[in-house]
Amino acid sequence: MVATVNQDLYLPDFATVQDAAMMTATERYLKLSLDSGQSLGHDPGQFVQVSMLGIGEAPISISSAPTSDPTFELVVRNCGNVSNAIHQLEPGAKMGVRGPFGNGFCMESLKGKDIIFVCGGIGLVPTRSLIKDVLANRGDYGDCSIMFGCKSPEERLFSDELDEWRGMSDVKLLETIDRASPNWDGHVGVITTLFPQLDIKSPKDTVAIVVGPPIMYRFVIIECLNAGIGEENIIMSLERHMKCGVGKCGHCQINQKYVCQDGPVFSYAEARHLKEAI
Amino acid sequence: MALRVMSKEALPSLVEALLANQKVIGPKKIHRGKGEQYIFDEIQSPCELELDYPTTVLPPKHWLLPKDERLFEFKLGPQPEITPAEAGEPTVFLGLHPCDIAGIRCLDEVMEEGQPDPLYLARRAQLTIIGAETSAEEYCYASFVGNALPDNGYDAFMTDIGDAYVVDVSTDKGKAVFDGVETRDATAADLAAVEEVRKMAATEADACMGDVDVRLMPMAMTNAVDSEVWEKASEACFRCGTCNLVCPTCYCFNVTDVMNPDLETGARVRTWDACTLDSFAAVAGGESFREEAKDRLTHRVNRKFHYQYTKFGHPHCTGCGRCARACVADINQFDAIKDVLAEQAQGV
Repeated sequence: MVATVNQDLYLPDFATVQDAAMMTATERYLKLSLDSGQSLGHDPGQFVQVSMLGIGEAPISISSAPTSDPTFELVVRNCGNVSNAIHQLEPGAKMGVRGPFGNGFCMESLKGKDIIFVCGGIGLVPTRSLIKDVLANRGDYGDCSIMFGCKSPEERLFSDELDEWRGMSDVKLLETIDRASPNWDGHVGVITTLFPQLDIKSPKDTVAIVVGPPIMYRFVIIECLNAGIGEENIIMSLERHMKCGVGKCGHCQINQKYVCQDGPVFSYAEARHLKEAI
Repeated sequence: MALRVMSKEALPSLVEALLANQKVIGPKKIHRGKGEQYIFDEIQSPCELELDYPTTVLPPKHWLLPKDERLFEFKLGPQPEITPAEAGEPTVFLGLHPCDIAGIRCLDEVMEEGQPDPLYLARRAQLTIIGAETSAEEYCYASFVGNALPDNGYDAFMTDIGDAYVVDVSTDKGKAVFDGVETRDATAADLAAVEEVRKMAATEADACMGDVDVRLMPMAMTNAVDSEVWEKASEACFRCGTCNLVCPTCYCFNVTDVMNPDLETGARVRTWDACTLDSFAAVAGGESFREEAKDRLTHRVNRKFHYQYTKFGHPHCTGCGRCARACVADINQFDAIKDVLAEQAQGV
């Protein structure tokens, strides 16, 4: 009747915090290591269900590129009970982990393409797993542009890495903040105002990876379409609150799709037929 | 497998035999609140069983998918410990109407697909389903979804033909139940009596229906995304989630942690949730992806008549009518369905 039943479907494994630091006033960076000694085995764009026993469980994007060692990185904004508890974690503390879950980005379809990353705020967190993977295998891809926008300089994430990417000769980094600030001499404006600075050579061979708050998608997708990028090459990662991660609890449904199974990565070609998507 | 006939006098001894080695869940009459009600409950003695009963307030799903279910227990500490939950004990559902049998079939499908749910399946594996005939009642629209008569999904099915039950024993589990009591082979006259009962049930059920065809629903729901039907149907909605809670095929859940008073041990618990509640599709930071009651009602009907229908090939609504019967705002979702079909027929 049923092929194989994973008896441990809802049981978390444990991971130990190796490193933890506040990245902004509201985002905490954590480097973890699975106690099993095994690799998490994730693909860029996947997520884990993080358990704080006694508090609850929450879906969190994996921010690190796939590795063969047991470590992985998360960046968590404190906006609920579980994320507040995660913010209290210091090195040596334990955390429960289930996953990885979700489809992740389809790496094969990106090979040989020019890639534009469009990251709004904490949209950089899941996208970083892909950016790091692409940069580690730079020869497999064409031109690489990274756009990052947030509200203020204080909300910049992975600022060392942003600076590092800015310094790379084969990466075009474009940054903006929404509102002018005395300690910012870069571009000011919403992320779509960076599009004129892009140099898209061959729109049909270009993929846009778009990850950010819901409001951002509407405007960025129009820019991408105007630039001639195909609907199937506009790739988004959508946020929902998964309670189970395994396609059962119903919370993450976008019409007939389960974000935890069919997503969180969707192309605009798919999402445009889903009324509840964006 | 076999058609047997059991005299009504043998029913108590059948129940006694079952009680000896398993939990027996069946329809029971209770006096509570507004007066007489029927519920599914644990049967402790044969006299409690009421096989001739109207639709119960709740379907029997809470025995398969408890409303608060421990997924595991834990102990906090530098090295936290986890103890998996165990589920399942020999249980028999005795006297389920065809629509409630259909409800379990729907739950089986969603719990088995993709990543199977271990706790549900552990309970299901130890469950025996014995069905009983039903008759049409207010709010029921079982014939619309093809559930007015028993089809499959049971281990045995009992048809009341007056002084006896004709029992369709269709699995080994069903056979085991009736092996312990005296039965005889069914005769042509017994079968004719069953036919008569079914014919009457079908006629009654069809009479509540009107000219509607469920096969049009997936397409109708696709076309009706922006229909005013949903606005109209949800106008009075209190967003209380009752329609979800009384539904035999709703299974969405929330997951929370519960601490024991020792503040050291606790459990992760899943509880029934309801997609019609305001907070159901909310994410951290306050954004909600199904903000309005009409969107949530559409989603609920889509799950029954579009998404699951397309995936599994039949509607995931049993037609039991509990959602309409229990609705405090008197919303009948079947009316909305009929409106959608009428709109489509007119080419709106």
